[in-house]
Amino acid sequence: MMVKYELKRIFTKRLNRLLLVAVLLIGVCLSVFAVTGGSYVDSSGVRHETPDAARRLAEDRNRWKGELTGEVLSEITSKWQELSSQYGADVPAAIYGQTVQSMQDIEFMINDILRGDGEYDDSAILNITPEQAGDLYAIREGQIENIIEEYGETTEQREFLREVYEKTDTPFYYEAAGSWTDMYTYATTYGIILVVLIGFLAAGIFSDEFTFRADAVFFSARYGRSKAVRGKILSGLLMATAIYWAGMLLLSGISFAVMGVSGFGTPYQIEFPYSIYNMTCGQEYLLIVLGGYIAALLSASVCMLTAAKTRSASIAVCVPFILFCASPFIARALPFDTFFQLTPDQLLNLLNCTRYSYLYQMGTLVFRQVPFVLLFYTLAAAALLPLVHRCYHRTGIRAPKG
Amino acid sequence: MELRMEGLTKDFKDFRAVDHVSCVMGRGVYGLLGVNGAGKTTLMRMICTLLKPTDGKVTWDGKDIFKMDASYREILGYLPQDFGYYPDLTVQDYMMYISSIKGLRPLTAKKRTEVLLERVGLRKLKKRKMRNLSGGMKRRAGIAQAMLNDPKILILDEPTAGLDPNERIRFRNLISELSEDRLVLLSTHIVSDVEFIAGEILLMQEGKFFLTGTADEIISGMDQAVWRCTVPRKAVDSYLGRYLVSNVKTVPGGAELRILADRPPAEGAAIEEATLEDAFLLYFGEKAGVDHDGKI
Repeated sequence: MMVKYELKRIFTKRLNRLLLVAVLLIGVCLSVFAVTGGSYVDSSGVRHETPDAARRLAEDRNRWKGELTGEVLSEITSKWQELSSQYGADVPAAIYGQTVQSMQDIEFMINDILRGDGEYDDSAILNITPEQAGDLYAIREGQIENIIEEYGETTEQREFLREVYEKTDTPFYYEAAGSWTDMYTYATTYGIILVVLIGFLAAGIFSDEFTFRADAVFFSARYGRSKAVRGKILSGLLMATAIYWAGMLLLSGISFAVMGVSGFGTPYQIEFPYSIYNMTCGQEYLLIVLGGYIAALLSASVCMLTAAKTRSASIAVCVPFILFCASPFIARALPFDTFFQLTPDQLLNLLNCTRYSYLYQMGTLVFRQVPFVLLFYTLAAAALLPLVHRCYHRTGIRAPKG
Repeated sequence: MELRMEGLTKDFKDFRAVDHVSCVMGRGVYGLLGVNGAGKTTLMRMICTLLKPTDGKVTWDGKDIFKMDASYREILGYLPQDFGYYPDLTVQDYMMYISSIKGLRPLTAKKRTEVLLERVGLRKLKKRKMRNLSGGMKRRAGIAQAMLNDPKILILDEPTAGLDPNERIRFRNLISELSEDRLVLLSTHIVSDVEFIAGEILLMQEGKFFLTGTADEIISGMDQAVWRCTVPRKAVDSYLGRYLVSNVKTVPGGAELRILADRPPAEGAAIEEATLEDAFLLYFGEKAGVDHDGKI
């Protein structure tokens, strides 16, 4: 009953309701941007920017669905070079719709594999023979050796990288995953908005007693220093969970319902061939959403602790801004790059984290940025909760005026 | 049923708010009278375990209330002076929320809420948001929440502050009704609040109890008589300067004064029966405040 009324207290506040509605509307808007953001060119060369464009594009690209064997890569390279020599940069719209469009994902992947750790060159595909393209995975393995030497600073790190890369299955399995990759940015952006909102709502849970001078009644009640405090903490976590997942389900539900879910199982390496994270595009999306959830829990925990300590919601609501919004800017201005790759804002930056090979080592233990950030901040969010309890449990009433 | 305070003291930095207060309370209504700043609220907050004493202790049936912790608060009901509430909750939800932190089971909480809202006259307004209640209604909701757990100790800190005379009378009667079979400690600086309902009155000044007893005992202990006399209007200031004047009433041809003095302050002055208000004025002198109704 305690939790029920604690939640009621959060959701009956006028400002909280307004913010909640505003954030849900933002979710709808982002979904609309996502589904209308893409375009599809049909075989007649007509460009479509309707909501079904993403689905039609995926259908078109899925003509290459399946394993990207040496033969397939060779065929695509050959076709691409043929079209390039025929039309140069000015491919007619109809040809684009009939052929080019469907091959683009794979063409990007070939260019990406060829660049190794260097700059992306969109003409790299034109500088190899179709036979060389057939050996693309061997080229990739050669590049991987270079990357291991460059990023592996110790023997343990090099060994670690080697093991990770060995786990990547080749040939890659291709299925158009545009709906998932397009959603990375939207999920990240919406995650930031939800985390800030959750921090705002959580701040009130432990400051309202002081704001409304209801502290004396609360702390003089039987469970005012025990169960009721635990009830507040639980309400904060439930509120964070409910709002975050409701928001994400709204965004994902609308977007994927319209764009389709083609490519959930497409390896992330199609997008970033040298990523040290072996997962699919769908899993990358879920990882981004999970990172946001951990950020939401952390935001709620930190805000509850700050509010319990300072008795002020105004101070507490600043915390998520500093943790998740300001620290990336601070990071850019300071020279402690390694440290700032482990700050809480990285939870909301997983779409970039998975692209780079950030490795850390403690003794002989080598670990990657993403699992460390996820585990560390989950534990941090949990570890703060007993502190919130302890802090509120001990709260005294300020000296009376009279 | 015994609430005992022994040498209870509370210091705030270099200020002593409560100074070695000792007292034993049992069943009944206790009126804690004192001017603003006398230490009433601090004393009550210690009794409610909201403030830890600097020295001394409070026991309930021989057990230290701070060691009893939740088991003590289980039998406690408290209406603070600054009664805070959650403005966006309805009266019913507010009561249910407080019930939950008082450890009442949902069914019991619902029944108690219904009964108490009926008793304080808020049953029809139970769906109204707390922010939309009048001052008197909020106070009534306040006492209802204090009574939710049917407390053995009911602490009411200035429960009538800010209420209009009608609400104050209504509130007084309500407290009187609720006082059966429990210890009620009621603090106020408005004498009439406790005059009729408190069995024992505790006069508090500068953190100490300096006089305790029934209203009659306190009145009979006065060493000054109460006089009524009519004086010319221009002489009123002179009387106010020389005597303790508990009331000034304009009448045709002058002003009728109620004066505390050991001998007749003017020719024709008639002796009057002393009241607790007179005693309050006598003991607290110039420190006695005047509330918005013009009463001392």
